[in-house]
Amino acid sequence: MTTTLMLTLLMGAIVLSMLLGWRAHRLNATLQTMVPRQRMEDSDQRAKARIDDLQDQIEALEQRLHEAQRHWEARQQALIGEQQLLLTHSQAQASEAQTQIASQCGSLDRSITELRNVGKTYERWHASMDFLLGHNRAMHNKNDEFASIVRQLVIVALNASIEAARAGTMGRGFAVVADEMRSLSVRAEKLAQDFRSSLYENDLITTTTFQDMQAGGKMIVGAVTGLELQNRKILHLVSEQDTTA
Amino acid sequence: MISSRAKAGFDKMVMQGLKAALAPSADEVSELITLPELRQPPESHAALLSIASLTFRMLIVLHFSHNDAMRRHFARLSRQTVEEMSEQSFLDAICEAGNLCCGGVNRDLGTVFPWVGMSTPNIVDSRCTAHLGVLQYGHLQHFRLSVTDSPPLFLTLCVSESEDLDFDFQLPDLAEQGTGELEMF
Repeated sequence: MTTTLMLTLLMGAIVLSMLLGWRAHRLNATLQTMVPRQRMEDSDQRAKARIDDLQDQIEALEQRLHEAQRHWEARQQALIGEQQLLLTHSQAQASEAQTQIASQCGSLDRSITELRNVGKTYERWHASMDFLLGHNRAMHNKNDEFASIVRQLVIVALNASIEAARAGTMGRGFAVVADEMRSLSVRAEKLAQDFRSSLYENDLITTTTFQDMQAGGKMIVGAVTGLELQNRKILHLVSEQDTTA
Repeated sequence: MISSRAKAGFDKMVMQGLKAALAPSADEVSELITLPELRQPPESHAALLSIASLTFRMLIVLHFSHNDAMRRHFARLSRQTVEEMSEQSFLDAICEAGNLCCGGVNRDLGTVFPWVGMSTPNIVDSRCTAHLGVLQYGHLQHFRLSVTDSPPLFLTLCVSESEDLDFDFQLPDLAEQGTGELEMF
């Protein structure tokens, strides 16, 4: 009985000691956590204050940002307005210039077209050259006739000299006249030859001068045709700009 | 003054034009030479053609006579019979051949000079050509073209320059080379 009691008491003591140990352990654990919590609360306080401070800074910055945005938007609007104004002005100027270019090109085109009719002047030059050559031909014919007369005169003068020689002393005076006639005829023949040569020279000068003018005219027409093509290209570009504008 | 190579260039152009225009075919050209001088006048008449540029003018003189041999040649060239060739068609055939020759030269000159123009032909008495000196030329060259079964053909080139001329002309490749174009007026 006593043993049982003792065992019971022993058991009770053991259980009690175990309970006390567990309680002591809990208390110890509670004591262990109480100090960091205090620290945490302090830290939280500081963090909250810091957050509030940062929040204030963010708000201030946001406000400055908004102000800057408003400023730049206003500036942008002003710039867009200025650019729009400049663009409108430039477009008006470009349009005016385009109209003037088109007008000038049109005027140039008409002038070039008229200038290409220079061919009509060739016909006039050709007619003038034909007239000059015809005139030269008539002079050739007259000169040939003159040369023929002079040749005849030379023969007549020679015959007169022969007749004068036959007449002897009586024909002496006549011989002088006949010799003079012969001398004049030879000079006239030489003159006719020179004149013929001059007429051929004249033919060459007339023909080559006319040809140079005609060829030069064609050269100019070639150059004008090149200008006309360039002008039409410009006109085409201007009209394309008009349609895209 | 005209440089030596420019003179050679003009000669090459004319010789090329001559072969293309005055022979029925290239195979029938037996000889084409330059002559230091020409008996004056080599024939009774001449067809004159001019080419003008900004800095020079060129005169091409195609000498011919109104004889049977010449008529046969130009009838052959213009694909006509001698019998059907009138005096006018004979002169037309000469002018057309001159035009072809000059057209070829004009085309070649166009590769060197930006602006050139060519005249129509005119027929003159050959005695006119004794006065070529009045043109105050810087280059004068005579050519003789011999074609099978035809009389020799004489041509004179006369270039009068208004300022110094110097250029280098090379004959184009045969593949790119065509016949002289007839200039229409």
